[in-house]
Amino acid sequence: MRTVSQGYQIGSATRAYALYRVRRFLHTPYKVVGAVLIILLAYFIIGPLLAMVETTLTWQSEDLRYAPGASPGAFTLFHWSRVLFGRTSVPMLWRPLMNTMAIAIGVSVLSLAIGGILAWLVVRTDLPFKHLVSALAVIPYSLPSWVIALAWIVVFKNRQIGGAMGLFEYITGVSPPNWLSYGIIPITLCLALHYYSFAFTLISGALSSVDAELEEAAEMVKATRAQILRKITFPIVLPAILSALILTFSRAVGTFGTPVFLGLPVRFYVLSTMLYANMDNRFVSNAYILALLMILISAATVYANNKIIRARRSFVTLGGRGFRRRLVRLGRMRGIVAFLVAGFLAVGVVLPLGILVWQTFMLVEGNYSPANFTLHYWVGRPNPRYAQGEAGILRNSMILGGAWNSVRLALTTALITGVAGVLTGYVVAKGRHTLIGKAVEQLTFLPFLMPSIAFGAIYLTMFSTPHWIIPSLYGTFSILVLTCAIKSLPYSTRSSTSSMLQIGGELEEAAEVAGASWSMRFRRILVPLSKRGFLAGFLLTFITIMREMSLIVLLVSPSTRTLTTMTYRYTEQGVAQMADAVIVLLVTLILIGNFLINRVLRSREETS
Amino acid sequence: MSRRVGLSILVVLALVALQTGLAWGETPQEKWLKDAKLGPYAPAAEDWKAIEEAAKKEGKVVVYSMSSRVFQLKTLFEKAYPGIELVPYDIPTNTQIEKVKREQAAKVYNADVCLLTGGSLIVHELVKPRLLWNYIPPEVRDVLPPQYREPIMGHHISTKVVIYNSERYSKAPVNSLWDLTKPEWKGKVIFKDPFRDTGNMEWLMTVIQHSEEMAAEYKRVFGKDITLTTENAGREFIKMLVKNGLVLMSSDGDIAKAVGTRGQKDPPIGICDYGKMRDVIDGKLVFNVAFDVKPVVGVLQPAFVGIVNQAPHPNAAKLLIKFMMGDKEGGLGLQPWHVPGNYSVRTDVVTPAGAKPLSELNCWMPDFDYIYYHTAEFFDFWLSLL
Repeated sequence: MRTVSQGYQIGSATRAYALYRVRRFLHTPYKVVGAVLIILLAYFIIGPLLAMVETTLTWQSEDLRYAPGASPGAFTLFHWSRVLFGRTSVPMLWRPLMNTMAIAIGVSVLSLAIGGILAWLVVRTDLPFKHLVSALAVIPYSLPSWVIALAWIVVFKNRQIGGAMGLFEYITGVSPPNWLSYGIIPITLCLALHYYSFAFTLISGALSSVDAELEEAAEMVKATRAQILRKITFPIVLPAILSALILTFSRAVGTFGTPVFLGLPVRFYVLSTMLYANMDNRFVSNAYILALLMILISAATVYANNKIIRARRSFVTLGGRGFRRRLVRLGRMRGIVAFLVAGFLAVGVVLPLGILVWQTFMLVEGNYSPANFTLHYWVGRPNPRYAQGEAGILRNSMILGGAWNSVRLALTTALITGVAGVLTGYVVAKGRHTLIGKAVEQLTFLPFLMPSIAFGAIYLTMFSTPHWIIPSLYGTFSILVLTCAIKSLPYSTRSSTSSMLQIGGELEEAAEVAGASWSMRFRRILVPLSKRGFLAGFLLTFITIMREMSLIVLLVSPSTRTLTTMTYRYTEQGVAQMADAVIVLLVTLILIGNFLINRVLRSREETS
Repeated sequence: MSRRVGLSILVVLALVALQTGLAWGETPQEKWLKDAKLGPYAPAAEDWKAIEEAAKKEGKVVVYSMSSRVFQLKTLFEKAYPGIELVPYDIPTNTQIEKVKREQAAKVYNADVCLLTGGSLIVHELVKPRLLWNYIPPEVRDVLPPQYREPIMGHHISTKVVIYNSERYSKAPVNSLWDLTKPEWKGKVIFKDPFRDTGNMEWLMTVIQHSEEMAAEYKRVFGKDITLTTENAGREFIKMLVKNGLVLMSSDGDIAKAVGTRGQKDPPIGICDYGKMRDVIDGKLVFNVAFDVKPVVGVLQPAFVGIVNQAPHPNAAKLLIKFMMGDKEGGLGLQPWHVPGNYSVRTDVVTPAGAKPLSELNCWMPDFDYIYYHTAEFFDFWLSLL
């Protein structure tokens, strides 16, 4: 009897203790929120990844075209051995892989050089018109990455490959050689002209936070300029440089538009375009293996970065604090440097847009005479002779529908990611040294590693049939929102974590002592104080999604087409004027959105 | 207690009854077929008045089309049948098949009518699994050749043929496919990327299937037997073509432009949709078909039309298909495809003005079964050439 009652008592004690633990857990809001988030994130991020791995390891029904005897669903290493070592592994994997790496490295180096030099000139020298320069230098960031590629085609296409004559040939009378028109060189250049804006933003942020007093102190102890640069400035800027490097590198690995427009005519493939070709011809397992390899490459890059510096995932700009800064006088070089910067911005930013606008006014492509001027592609009524009988874009209900889809998608995604980011940011900031915080941080970071086109491919398969509690999302608008929101999560989480970290714990503790519930604390303290971070993240997501193509090119259906995917289709069909008019419309919408959101941001700052 | 047991038993019984009831009754697909009078229930003669009435009630018809001329069809159809909206979607064949399969798997019934090429895939992936239904308006049955009746009705035939710039060359500068592999055409032959166009993949596979003719033609051109570095003469031709700097483009429109732009000193040769001849007639471009190229000037590419399984607007779909099949003059809904380079599958339709009759066009017809079972193999072969 005694033992039994003793056992009973012990049991009740442990039960009471367990109950206490549960209650304490429930009273630690970040843990509850964190636990829910972990489940959701695992489902939306780890789940698709596993599903993808599973697909590559089993026979699929489309494999019957290769192996008529295979039974779909059974385990096999066929796909992996075929892609990695098979007869066609060189053109399928290894050559595109080499091309991808070459482009990613070239783009990273070039972007860092351009962005770094520009940043240094703007932040640390007495360059004139700095505000204008920084305003223009970040424009490429708001454009789709392949806008420059399309402009490149307009200028440098040669007749042999490009059909109609390019602007270069029209002016000089010389047909540009293939290596200049298509392939690795124009792809690298065009991408660098887009991605340098990341390096510029990050490095100028870091440079402006270098306290000049440190450098002055070094000067006092008679350090040379080179020593100061090497020992002080460089180490402080290094994390930003490395972050820019990873960001550029992993973006360049996953990019699709530029290599598809500039690579195809000379049969030049990178991993992303090979993935698309496989997907399009329904060799899904091959496509997934390529996607998994792309994820591995990105992961390896980040890992290498972590080895070099501890400052992990510091791709968020360092906050620019107002230090006293000493400006380097350019002296006699000032004029020349200003001229070069102006020339660069004119060629890299203004010219591509100008060319595209011009092209939309040409009735027949490649005919540069004034008689060829037309507004047909803007406001024309349907005419079977032009643009395959489609009406001009401002009269074309499909394109206006696409514009609405783009705006709707970008706004919805920005809102959802923004809210989700506040929650994940809260958990990461509060639980910084706990398992839950770390798990959420790691999970939200994963989508960053997945190349856009691969991410789209995963979601297409995962959610095109009913899945768990989620109905089939195939062809719906929701699948676009879901994919874009999860893919943008790393950015919104980062930006909201950093703003949460700035909010001292005392405020919340004080409110708790005063008896405020968690929801009240969250609503009345955390949300208002992190509003700025939220809005900044909102703007970033809005722009990113407006110009997104790689991510959604596999997911759109006719009724959910966005402007970016419409441009792709028109380019594919060879209706350059329509493609360019759609881009011009897209860029206009992005700039309007940018302006409006910035106004809201600024008016908030004024009131608060 | 016993009451609860009783209730449970009742519930179970009700569920069982419901299940079996469904099994005894008809599936939604059967019911749809019966209501729409399609498949096994298609009548020998249609009451078009009734169909038009029903179609007006349905109010619209959604079309997936691999041809962008569906936009012209929309204008024509809505003029002929006011009150029925045609919702056009321009989707390439491969994507269309993928899309219909996924939609059907998800029980999302969006589309009514599919117009698409890629005969091999249509039969194996849509018609056999009962995702696309064949519908032949009784009026046209007798004027269709058998290969365009079953298993799915043809609509029009496109051709991908060898074209040259007729301003620079008064007569065709090539008269054999093998000429395209000669050094003087290095880097000057243009073809649409077969990864993006099923039709172009079929083109190349048809050449492979006709390897014996290709070998004989090689002997005629070069005066000696072909030395193979690949399995057969067809593959050898493709390999030599690629090694000779074959240029790939993403659209036939671009190819026509590259070949047919005026004022070129050294224009390329293209393998391109004969239908682009429209631009020549309009005076925008100058090119012609190299009709005498041996063994063939190109490969036929039939487009097929059918009604999507459980389509929401089956009557409007029937009405549209009848309209699309046109009349003897190539009018009504056939109009957008009644242009030089396209041919109606109907035997009684006049040849479009300015075109050679189909019977005089020396082309191969693709063998869709062969193509279906050789696609993967070809995919690998093509990859190995890149």
